[in-house]
Amino acid sequence: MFPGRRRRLIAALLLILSAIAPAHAASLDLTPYRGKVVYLDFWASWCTPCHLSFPWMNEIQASYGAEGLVILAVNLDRDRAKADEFLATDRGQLNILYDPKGDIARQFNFKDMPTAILIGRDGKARFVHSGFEIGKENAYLADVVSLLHQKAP
Amino acid sequence: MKIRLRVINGALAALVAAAACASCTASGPRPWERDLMARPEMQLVPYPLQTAADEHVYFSKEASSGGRGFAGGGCGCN
Amino acid sequence: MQLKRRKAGRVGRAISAVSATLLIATAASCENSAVAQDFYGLDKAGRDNFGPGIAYTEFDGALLIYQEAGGRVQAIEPTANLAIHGARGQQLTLGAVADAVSGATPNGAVPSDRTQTFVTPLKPQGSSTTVTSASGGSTVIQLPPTPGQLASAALGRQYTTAPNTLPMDKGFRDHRAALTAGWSQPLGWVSEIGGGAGFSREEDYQSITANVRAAKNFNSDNTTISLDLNGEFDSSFPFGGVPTGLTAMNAQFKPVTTRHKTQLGFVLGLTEVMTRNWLMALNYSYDSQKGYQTDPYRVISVVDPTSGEPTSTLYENRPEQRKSQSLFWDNKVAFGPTVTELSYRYFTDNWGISSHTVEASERINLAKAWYIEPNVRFYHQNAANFYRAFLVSNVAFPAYASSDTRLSRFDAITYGAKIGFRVSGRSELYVRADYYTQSGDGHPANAIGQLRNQDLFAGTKAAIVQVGYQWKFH
Repeated sequence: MFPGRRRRLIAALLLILSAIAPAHAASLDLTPYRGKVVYLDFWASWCTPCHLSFPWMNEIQASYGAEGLVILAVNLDRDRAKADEFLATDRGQLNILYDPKGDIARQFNFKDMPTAILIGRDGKARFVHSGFEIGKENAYLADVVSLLHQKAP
Repeated sequence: MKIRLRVINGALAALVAAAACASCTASGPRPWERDLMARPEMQLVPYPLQTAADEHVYFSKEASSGGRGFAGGGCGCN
Repeated sequence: MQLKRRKAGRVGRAISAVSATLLIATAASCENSAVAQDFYGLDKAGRDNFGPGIAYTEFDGALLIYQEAGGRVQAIEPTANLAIHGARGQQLTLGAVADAVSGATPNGAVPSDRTQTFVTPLKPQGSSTTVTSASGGSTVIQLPPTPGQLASAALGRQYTTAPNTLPMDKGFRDHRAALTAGWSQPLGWVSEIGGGAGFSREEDYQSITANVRAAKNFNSDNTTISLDLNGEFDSSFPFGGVPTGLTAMNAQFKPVTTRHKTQLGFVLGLTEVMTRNWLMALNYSYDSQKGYQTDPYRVISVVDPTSGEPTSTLYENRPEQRKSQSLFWDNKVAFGPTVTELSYRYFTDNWGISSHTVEASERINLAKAWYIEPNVRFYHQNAANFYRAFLVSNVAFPAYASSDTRLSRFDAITYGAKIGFRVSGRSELYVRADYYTQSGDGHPANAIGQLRNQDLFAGTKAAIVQVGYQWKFH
């Protein structure tokens, strides 16, 4: 409908608008991760088990990143400063997404903090880990590995 | 006394009904909105020795006692 | 759970790519929040890493000092609590309390415009609270011989009360020690199951308690239902033995040495996280107590029907059955650096007592490590149906009668404040002071003769001070 030049103009306008407009409706696009196993972890600075999950997530990202594991740690703090304090010591090498208003979280409708949603290579959510308990790391890892062993569609 | 009992019985019935219906509809904040509940001072009894001392004083000087419960609130993690 | 797929289209893809990039980059938070500094900020040295999923221990210690006005009761009570939290929600709690109470306490008799004399059993020498002639304003007296005896070797303790003064027994002293232990953990689908026991012993009283409890969370942990079943077995072994109710006060050792009381009860609770800021709890309690519930040291005056002068003094007598219920509604609301608490309790029992309690407090976090918390409490109760300020000599005595102010109709106000200081990310020191006053009708309509010129309300005014320390560690 729109000829080429107008399309580029509209795209540029929208780019500028989204840059200056408030970052409403945080969104999550997982299409770049098709063919990989995505460990989508929802965390916050006030969630004490999250302090335990970060070192473990860093471990498995390092061990299984080559096989196609991508960890996306979605922060749900309303106050960015608190998330930064947490990350200052705990981040490691993880990818962090910010969802201060819970827009992404709301789409997944989970019931616990922290929650990790394991998404297979086909883009479908396969496992949900509610909470993070030390002692259950092997069970969590078994789920990750079973998704890694599935072939990409 | 009869009216008092009726009030109490009514309140108890409401409590039981509310309890039975607690999971009927999802209500309250989402799990990621529990940041304020995670604050230590937002527990129901954040200073147990202070609360115990007050209850001891009032139990010794008044005819009524007790009433508090023990569970709920907090960050809801794990 | 299916992912929401964005509609295809170049514009759509461009937007989504941009927004994802913006999110991943360190874009400034757009939220223009005026949230004050978090009191328990995560500083590197003392990371606030205490909560669910993490094993840690918390130690609480406190010292309570209680002092009533007018030379009445004073008490010192050190307390300590140890809570060991496991990583999977288990909790072991150990507690210890000791208290030393002394001072003067009203004995229950009415004031008179003449000097009054009271006699009570004398504690033998060697006991920890010997009353000598010099202490407590009491004197040792020789008891008159019993019928058939020529003389008596028995001794008693006598004290007098000046005219127009509230009769008080000044030789009151007691020490108490108590231990408690409790355990709770999640079990299967039950969010929390646990139990506990306690033992308390003082010079003339012993109490053994036990409870079991369970709680279940629903609704993403926003709703919690709980039930606590509790029982208590008490033994009263007053000095001088257990007097028979409504018999004359005397210095003889009574034949019955011990009486017991049992209590069974439950607390049903509903806790609800109403909104992100507001926590609400509603608790219903029921208690049934059977057995000896009289105060063995307390007396009631019998007065002349015309002059109002006390003619005799009798031991009080309370019913042996008490059933009570209460409804407690608690609200805590967090706004920025403050936490507001507002609670109401309604209590009623089959002794005819009903009461209303309203408590409010406002905690304000200041600067980085301090907070202040003013508080106020309003209390109103009406009298037990067997409460009598005095008995009249020409009226048949009721089955039960007590002049204990604690069972009378009165109002009470407490106001005070607390200051706390976060010593580090894992420990806190606090001090609080409250002033508690009771007020009631000292000139009831049924006052006779000289009683009309006396203040018949023996309520308390007291200062409550407590210093405490909380310390968490791994």
